[in-house]
Amino acid sequence: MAEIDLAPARRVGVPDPPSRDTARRVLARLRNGLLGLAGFAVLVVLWQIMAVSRIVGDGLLPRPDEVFGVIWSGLGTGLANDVLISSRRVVVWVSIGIVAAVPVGFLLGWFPLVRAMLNPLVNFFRALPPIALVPLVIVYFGIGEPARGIILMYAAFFATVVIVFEGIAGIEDKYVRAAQTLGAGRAEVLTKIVLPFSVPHILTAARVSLGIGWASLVAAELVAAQDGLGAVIQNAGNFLDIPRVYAGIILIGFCALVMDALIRLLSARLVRWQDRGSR
Amino acid sequence: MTTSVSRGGLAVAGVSKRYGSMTILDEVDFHVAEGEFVAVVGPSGSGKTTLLNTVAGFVDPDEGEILVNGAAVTGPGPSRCVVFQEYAIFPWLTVRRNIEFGMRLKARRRPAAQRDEVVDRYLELMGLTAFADALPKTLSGGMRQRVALARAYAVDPEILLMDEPFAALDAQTRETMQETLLEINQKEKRTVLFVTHQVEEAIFLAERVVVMSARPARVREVVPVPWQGRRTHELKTTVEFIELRREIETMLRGSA
Repeated sequence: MAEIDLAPARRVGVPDPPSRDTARRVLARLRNGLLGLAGFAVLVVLWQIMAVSRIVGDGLLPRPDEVFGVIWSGLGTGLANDVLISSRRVVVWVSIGIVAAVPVGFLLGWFPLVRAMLNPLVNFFRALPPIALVPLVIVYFGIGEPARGIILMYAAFFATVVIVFEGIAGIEDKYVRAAQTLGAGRAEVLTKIVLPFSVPHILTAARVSLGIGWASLVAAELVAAQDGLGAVIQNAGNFLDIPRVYAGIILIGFCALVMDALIRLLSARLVRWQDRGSR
Repeated sequence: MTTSVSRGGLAVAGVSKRYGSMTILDEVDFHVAEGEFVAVVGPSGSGKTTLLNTVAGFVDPDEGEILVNGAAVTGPGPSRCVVFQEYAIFPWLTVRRNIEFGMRLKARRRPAAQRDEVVDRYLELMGLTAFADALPKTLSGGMRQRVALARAYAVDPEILLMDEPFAALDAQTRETMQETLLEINQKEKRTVLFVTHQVEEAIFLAERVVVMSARPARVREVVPVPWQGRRTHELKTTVEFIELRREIETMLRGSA
C-alpha cells in the first residue's frame, strides 16, 4: 500500500522544458512584431501612392515624407512638449478615473442590489460621448487644467466601472466556496479571492481607459487648451496646415500604441497565472 | 499539532430539503463515526451534492439538522473542508500558496514555521514536492486534485467532505488518486464523507456505503464493506468485490 507508483501522475504534470518553450515564444513574438511593422509599411506605401497620384483630396493629401518631416522638425521646436503635456494629461487623469472607479466596480460586482440600482445609470453615462460634455464642463469648471482633466477622468471612470464589476460578478462560485470551506470569513473572501481575481480586469480596464483617454484627448483639449496634441490639431486645422494635422494625429496614435504596449507588458508580469487561452 | 485532539463524528439527522414543490432530500438520516470513511452513492441527480452542500453549510436544510462533534452546522467553515469535483484550486497562487491558504486565514492561522512544515509534509505525501512553486495552469487535472486534497488536509478539518473529487479525471489517473487517498488516510486517519456515483469507487475506498434512492433522496440502505486493510489494486478483480458492487448497483437501479 505504501508503495504506490506516482510516476504516471508525475509525468503528466511536467510542463514543457522552459528553454525550448521560451525560444519558441521569442521567435513567435519577433515574427508578430515584424508583421505588425509590415502592416504599417503597407499603409505608408498606399498613402504615398494616393498622395502622389492625387487620386483623393485634390492636392490636400500631404505625402508621408512631408508629414514625417513636420514631425521630425517639430519635435525639436515645441511638438515634443505637446507630446509630453498630452501624455501626462492622459496618464494623470485616466489614472485618477481608474482609481476612483475600482471601488465602485467592486461595490457593483459584489452587491447584487447595488448593481441592480446603479448598472443602468452607469451605462447611461458611459454611452455619452465626452465631447458632448465640453460646454457643461466649461460652464462648471472653467477653462483651466481641471476642466480638461474632468473629461478624461469621466471617460476612464465609466469604462473602468463596467469592466471591473463585470469581472467581479464573473468570479466562479467554486473559488468563493473553496475559500469559505477553508475558513475564510466575508472580509477574507474579499481580500484573498475577489481582489486577486480582479487584477486582470483592472489591467484590462486600464488598457481600455487609456485608449478612450487618448480618444477623448482632442475633446478635452478643445477646452481652450494652448498646448497638447489636441490643441496642435485644432490650431493647425484652423490654419489649414494639413501636414501638421496629420502629424498631430500620428503622434496621438503612436503615444496610445506605446502606452498600450507598456500595460500589456505589465499584465504579462502581474497575471502570469492566467491560462494563456483565456488571455 | 495535526495529530489532533478530540474528533467527533458527523450526524445527519432527519434532513429534508425542498426547492419549491420538489423534494430533494427526504428525511436523510445517517451517522459517520469519528475517523470513519463513509461513501454516499446514488444515481446521478439524486441529490448527493445537495446533501454534501448541506453538510458543508452552503445550503440550509428545511428540516432536521447536521451535527459535527455535537455542534449544529450553521454555515460553511473549516471544520468541514470540502474537496470539489471541479478544479477549485486558486489559479493565481502557486501550489505551495494554495496548500497553505487555510493556514493563513484567521480561523486556522498557524505561524510561518509550522505552516512550512505542514505544507512540506503534504507536498511529500502527494508527490508534489517538485511542483511546490508551479502555478496551477501548468498542472494536469490529477495534480490539481492532489493540491486540492493537500489543501483540505492542511487545515486539519474535523470532517473531510469530498464531492466526486475524481469524477473529472481519466480512468487511470482516478485509480492512482484513489490509492493516494487510501494511503494518506492510512497515515492520517480522518473522518471522511465521500460522495460519488461510482459504486466501484465507493466500495474500494469506504468502510461503509450509504446507498441513496433517487428523487427524493432517502437513505435506502447502509452497506458495510468487509475488506478493511486489503484495499489494493487487485481487490477490484476479486469475486467478492464484484459481487458487492453488483449488489449495490442493483439496489441503485431498482430505485432510479
